Amino acid sequence: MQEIVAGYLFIAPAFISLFIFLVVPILASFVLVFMRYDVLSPPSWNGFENLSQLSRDGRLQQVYWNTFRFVVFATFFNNLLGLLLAMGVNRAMPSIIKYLLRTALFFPVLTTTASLALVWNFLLTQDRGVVNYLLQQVGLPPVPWLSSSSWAMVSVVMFDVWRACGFLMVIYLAGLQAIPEVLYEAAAIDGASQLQRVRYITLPLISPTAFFAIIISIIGAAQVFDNVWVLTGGGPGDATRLIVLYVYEIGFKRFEMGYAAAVSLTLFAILVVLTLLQFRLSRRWVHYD
Amino acid sequence: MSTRGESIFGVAMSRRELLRWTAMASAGALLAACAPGALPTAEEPAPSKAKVRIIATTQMPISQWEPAMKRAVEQLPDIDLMITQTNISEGGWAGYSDRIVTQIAGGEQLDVIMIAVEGLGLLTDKKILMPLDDYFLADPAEKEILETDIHPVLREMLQVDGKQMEYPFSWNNMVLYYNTKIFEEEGIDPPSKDWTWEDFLEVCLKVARVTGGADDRYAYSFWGSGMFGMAAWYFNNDTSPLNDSWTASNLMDPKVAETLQFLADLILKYRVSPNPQGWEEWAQFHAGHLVMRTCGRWCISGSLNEGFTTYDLQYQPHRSGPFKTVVGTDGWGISTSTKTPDEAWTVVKFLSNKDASIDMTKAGGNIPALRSVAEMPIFAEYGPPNTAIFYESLDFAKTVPSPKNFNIIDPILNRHYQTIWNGEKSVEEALIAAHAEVTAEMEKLQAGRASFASAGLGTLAMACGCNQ
Amino acid sequence: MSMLQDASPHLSRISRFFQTFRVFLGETVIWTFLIVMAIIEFAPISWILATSLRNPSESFKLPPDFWPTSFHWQNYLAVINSPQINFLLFFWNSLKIALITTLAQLLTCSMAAFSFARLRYPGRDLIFFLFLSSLMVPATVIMIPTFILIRMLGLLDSHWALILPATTSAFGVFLLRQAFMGIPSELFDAAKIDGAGYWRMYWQIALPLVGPALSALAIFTFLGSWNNFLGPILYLRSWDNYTFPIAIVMLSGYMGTGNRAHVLAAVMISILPVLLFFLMAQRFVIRGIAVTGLKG
Repeated sequence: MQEIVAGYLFIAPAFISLFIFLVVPILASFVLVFMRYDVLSPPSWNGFENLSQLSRDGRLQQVYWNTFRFVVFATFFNNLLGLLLAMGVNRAMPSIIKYLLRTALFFPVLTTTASLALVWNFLLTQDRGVVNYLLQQVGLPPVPWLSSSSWAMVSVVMFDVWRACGFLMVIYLAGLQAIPEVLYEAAAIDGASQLQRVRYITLPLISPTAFFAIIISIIGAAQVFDNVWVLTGGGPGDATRLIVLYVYEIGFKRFEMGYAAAVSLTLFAILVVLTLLQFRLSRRWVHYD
Repeated sequence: MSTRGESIFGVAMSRRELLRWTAMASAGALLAACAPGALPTAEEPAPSKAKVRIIATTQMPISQWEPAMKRAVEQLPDIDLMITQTNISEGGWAGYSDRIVTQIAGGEQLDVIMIAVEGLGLLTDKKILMPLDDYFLADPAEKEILETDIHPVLREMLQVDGKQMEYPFSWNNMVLYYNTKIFEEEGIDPPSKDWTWEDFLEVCLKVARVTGGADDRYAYSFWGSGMFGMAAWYFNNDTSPLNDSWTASNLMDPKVAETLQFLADLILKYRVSPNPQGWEEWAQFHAGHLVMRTCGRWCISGSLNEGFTTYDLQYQPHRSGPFKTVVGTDGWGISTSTKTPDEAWTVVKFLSNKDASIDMTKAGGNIPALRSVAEMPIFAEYGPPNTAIFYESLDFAKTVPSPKNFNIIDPILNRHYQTIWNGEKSVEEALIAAHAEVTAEMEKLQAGRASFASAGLGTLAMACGCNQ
Repeated sequence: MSMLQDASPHLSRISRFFQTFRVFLGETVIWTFLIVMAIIEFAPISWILATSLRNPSESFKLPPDFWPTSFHWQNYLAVINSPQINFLLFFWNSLKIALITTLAQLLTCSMAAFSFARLRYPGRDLIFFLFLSSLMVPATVIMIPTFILIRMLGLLDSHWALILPATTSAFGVFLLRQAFMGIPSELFDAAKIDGAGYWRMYWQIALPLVGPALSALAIFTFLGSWNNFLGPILYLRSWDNYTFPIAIVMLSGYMGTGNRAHVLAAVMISILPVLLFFLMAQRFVIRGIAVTGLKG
């Protein structure tokens, strides 16, 4: 009996906070979807107007296409580089070098994204920018990093990978260190090559970590805001307008809170489906012990 | 849980425990430190003399207002004046007015608001500003200033439906800044007042030196966005992105396309202008990597800070139609949400007075609305030789297009301009797309007005009431 | 037969040569990769440092520097004394919010995690599932209703608007639950026999054993709060409440009046505290994540 009371008491603070700031807003957005609300005047009933606006909003498709590409590429490269870096750093080497390497690779994670985006803005300016200057010094043509639609998306992904792959590295590093050394030793005795060891020991044993890391990356990438806000402002045109920026603009620049909630809910639906799908698929490739 | 006391206050308190409790205690202290300012408590205890707190907000750098705040302590004994800067570098006037709206919606105290004509429509439409006419009527001295010391163009610009919504404080037009040293080196005569786009292009081709090296020099750069910056070009070709009443798109006017094509050619065809994205005009101009730029008087402040003096001003080059300069005015208004409008009016007067105007002039900010200040020697002192063109341009001024939905229209235009500057869309394609969007928003505005009217003023009053 | 026997040492020498060569090649590829990545990751940071120490009027000069060539430390003073921002205040605001959030999360998450991992009561697994599924809800989805909620609570323009929604995290609960699960249950049984209450079990036995996991959570929470950009933009209005990330963007100036060297000096200042912390606690942080074993 005492245990039951204690159990509830212990989860109470977290539960209350989660309830107020997560459950209530989620429920509220289902109501908000049917409202017209401009923050200043009281909300009024708007029926299915916001939902039908979804299908008419041509920009929304572009924004979703942007977000989709961003999430896919950022997740892929972040995890690929994160894993490779972790495997590289997790080797025998003098501890000072290891220390420096890890710090250099993890450094961007520590810094405010907004200010780093500002820095990259300086670096990637098309004319008289630092990166283009360096390219031109080695005889390459300047690249319209932030001003061309196709390159701007590349730059935004590049920036995200540059900033976040160190974080993924640490997560994978943790996973790698949990793999018992004995397994590798045994494999070495059996004459397995380095690649074989990676293929048959590292990858299967790291798969739970990878599963976790990929889910975190997808959710993180779907929420990216500061990158594009500072780096491109969503431009040129709509080329790098991601979903969060778009919702922000609908809500706080056009003051259409109801429609902003409707757009948010579509994202919610997509992520739920995606996550369930992941769990389903994960049975095929994730190996727990 | 009962055993907790012993272990904490028991004799044998381990070092680890001590540390942990110190950590907890400091967390508590932090919470306490955070609480009084942050938690929305009831009324703050009033200072001894029951001063009225008035909060004024502006987009101008707060440092410029420090002398005024000091003077306020003496000159306004009954008022506790606080000036805040609402500005997060992004979005210009559109972003600024968006923030004001959310601030008011959040129920925050805002008594006095500085807003420029670009944001005036939105704030008036949302009933955030109250008309000042009654105050001016009751205050003959101020009415005198408003009518004699302030140019009618500026005064009328801040009227909505014949009501004076703001006390004009400062204004700007757009002129061409050029580096006199480079002009001399290249043997180019200073541009004359009546120079044309062809003259301008000729100069551009002469001074540009773009090879991709460390010493690259661009001839001219412009914001590439922003109603104000673009109007500087449109108005000199007798056109505008919106119709004269700012209620419909005028983007299909061939002269709009002609203007944009000319600017696009500077970037894409002649390569004398950089792509505006991320390009930092100020620093490049001061470092001699940019020869000409278009800006209002506020750009003088940057040159003052950098100690940059080898530049002068001229009107924008001209193509067709009557000679025109784009003008935008800002001023101080009273928020409908204030609980102490009389004190707010006192502050409006105080922040619009000569002293405040002189502070701004010295900081190299905008052009003062008070003619008496603009005619002081100090105005000419803080600026290059041709500074006089700032004030005299009022005689052929045209107001920057400032629709009620400026905060929506401006970003639409900017988005489509970007696709012209990077060469991905032809001017025609971009304009067709922009025209469709602007038209849709303008129709929404008309429709909104209709339903707004039918809802009646009662709802409005309610809306204002429930937000306080 | 004999031919074959003769050949085998020869063959094995060749194959050994190839093997050594392959190892050598592999090592080269791996090291090149690591070094190139380290340079790519670090070069912008050292560019920030070098440029932040340039004379402001030269901050746009090309070619760029990747190590300091001049030492114009006045830029740092200029940031601290800048009239455009209130440096110390904004810095303190950020620090305060980050510290409170971190402490709150450590407490609420560890309590909940302890309960999920070590106590038995009806509905436990259901509630845990609720927590887990909330991990899948991005903040974006609830941005608008949360804003309205914060406004209804009267918390706009206060630091509580940033702190309260972040007082717990499903991620933290999940992370610490794994750590608590790893503690041998004999320890708790022994404590029970000694008559220890649940609070004491949690506070005196469980918590001290999950130090690394706590530190990992602490750094994630701290970083998340320290770097938060959208939150302050949404909720904070008045000058006195702004946080450091906003200050940096503000430094870039009213209509572009900013000074690049100063902006970069501010960025350096924002990096320093976190860097120092990471240099000291690096091993601890990585071990923290490793120990909790994000094994799903």
